[in-house]
Amino acid sequence: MAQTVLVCDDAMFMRTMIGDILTQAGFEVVGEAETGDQAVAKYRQLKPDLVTMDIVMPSMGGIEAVRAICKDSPDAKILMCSAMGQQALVVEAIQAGAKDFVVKPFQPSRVLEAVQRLLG
Amino acid sequence: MDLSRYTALFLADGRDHLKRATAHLLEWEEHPERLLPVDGLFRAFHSLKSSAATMGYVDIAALTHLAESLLEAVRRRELTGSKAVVGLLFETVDALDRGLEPATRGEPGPDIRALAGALERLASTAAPSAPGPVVAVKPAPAERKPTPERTGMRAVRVDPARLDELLQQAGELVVARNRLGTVVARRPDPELESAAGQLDSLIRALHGGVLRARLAPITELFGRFPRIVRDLGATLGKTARLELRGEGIELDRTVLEELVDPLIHLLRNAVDHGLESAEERTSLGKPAEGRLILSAERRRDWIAIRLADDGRGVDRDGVRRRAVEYGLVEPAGAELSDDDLLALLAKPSFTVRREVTAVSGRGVGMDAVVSKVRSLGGRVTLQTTRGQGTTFELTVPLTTAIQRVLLVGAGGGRYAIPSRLVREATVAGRRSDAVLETDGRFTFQGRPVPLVDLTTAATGGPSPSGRRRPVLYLEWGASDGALAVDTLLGQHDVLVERFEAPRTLPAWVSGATILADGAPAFVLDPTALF
Repeated sequence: MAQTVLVCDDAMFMRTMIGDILTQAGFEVVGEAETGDQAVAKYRQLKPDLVTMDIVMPSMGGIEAVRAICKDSPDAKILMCSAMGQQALVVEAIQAGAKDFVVKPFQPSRVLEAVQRLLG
Repeated sequence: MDLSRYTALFLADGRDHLKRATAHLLEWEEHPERLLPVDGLFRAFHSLKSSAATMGYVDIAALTHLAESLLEAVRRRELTGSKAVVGLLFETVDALDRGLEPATRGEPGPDIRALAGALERLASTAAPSAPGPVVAVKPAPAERKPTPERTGMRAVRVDPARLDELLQQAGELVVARNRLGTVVARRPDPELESAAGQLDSLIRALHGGVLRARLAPITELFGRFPRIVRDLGATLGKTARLELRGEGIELDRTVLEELVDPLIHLLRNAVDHGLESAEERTSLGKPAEGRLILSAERRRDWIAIRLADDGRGVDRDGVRRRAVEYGLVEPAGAELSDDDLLALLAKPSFTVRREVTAVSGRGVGMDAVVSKVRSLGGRVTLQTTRGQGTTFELTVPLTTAIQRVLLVGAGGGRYAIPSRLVREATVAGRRSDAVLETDGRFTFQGRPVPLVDLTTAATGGPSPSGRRRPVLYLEWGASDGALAVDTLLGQHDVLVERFEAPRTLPAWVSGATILADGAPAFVLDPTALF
């Protein structure tokens, strides 16, 4: 069975692209979230194998969402997707429980590498 | 990775971010002390930066990055929402807007060096603030004392989400009542009928009451417009005044929010294209100051919002000439009616102007206005007289909670299609101007129209052959299409539950509803079929 992914990003463009990269690599995108709140709710509902999480999102940012998810599910596999210039936030996200990160703009190979490392 | 198939998505998403950025800027301009619009602006620029960097659009990524840095300084309270900051960000939004399309075509966009320099210089003036107590925030207006002398009653604040919940339940009651109605009709019993009738009127009253509780005064929408018009006038070297009428009118909160962008667009258009310059007006014997009137009027379950200007009117011949150039009308046709004018102006990327100004003329917008109002189930009309002015009228339903749908049967199932999309329901073959070929080609009123067979789409099986079938002719935005079905089952008012469709359902299922007989039916977004 394909491994499942929840894609969290407030930009439709990014969600589509990340979804495409992962679908082409054989994953099944089971849900998308546009806000941190949605990310937490959908994680609880869908229990995906993997989450990709944007840092800057409306109504609860990505880092708080990571914190909320990891509180219940410390083993959640969350990959942070951050833009350049957010290194400090990435560190904070990892402390909150995120397992790895990729920096936008994405190289598809870099995304898949990180994903495989996480699920490996 | 082949990025070319993402360009359309990038463009649509990017325009959306810029539209939100503009709305946040306008709010911030009016309330420089608020930080909420700053957060929204930051996110809009940030999202655009990420997408642009991924697509390799260097200029857009660079500009959004600089705007983001400037906003960071504001968030750190090292800069305030001064005229200079807001003005420069407006310019940035405009430059980005102009740059989006060329970028997707791989062409050079506007020269951003001067603007980038200005953003950097302004960011460098930011002074690190001394640590200390946070600046006292002005109390929110809602904290003010109630004004009993105006309303004559006390107001309570309720979370809009709770009202939505109540409305949802009242709507379910309406549906349950319909269901009871069909049962009662089958078992004639005077006592049962009278009890059901009483229940019926109570439920109607309850539903009406909840709807009224969700209404918000239209002043909430109109209040910020006079300022926008004044600023626009100043930018364009014109004097313009906006008068508001019908401010006592109330409208569903959701509808109200959806109308902000379309109305701002129309205001911009009116000041930029509609009004003449002060000199021109004086020479024509008009008052130097241009006048816009924005009014609202209730017509039963509808609200009509009109924006009238006393400017030059739409240049009918100019529009016709451009339309001929675009190949949209025959060179030797009759004079364009007001409806024709609007249909042309609402075509994506149609513009009469050859140059683009800072405010409008880029051929984006009118199509967005029309499709937004349509998506609310409303419509737009235009009236214009050369030399005297132009009036746009937006008619929208008081609420969008209950929708009118056309119920159809296909492949053994029943489906609801929003009536606002259905231009005509007809039986192909019965009329000479609706012809369905055996190979599925469809001609409507002399034009080939793309046709989708709902039976095939729903069941995956073969469609009932034959050239005599019910066909719905649909229109949305500037597009159209036809949908072949098995049976037409009539119009109904239903409560639509929007849901996150499970992946097993096709993308064209947008919601579900319970029909009067208690059976569920899918609500379709047929536009996803074409």
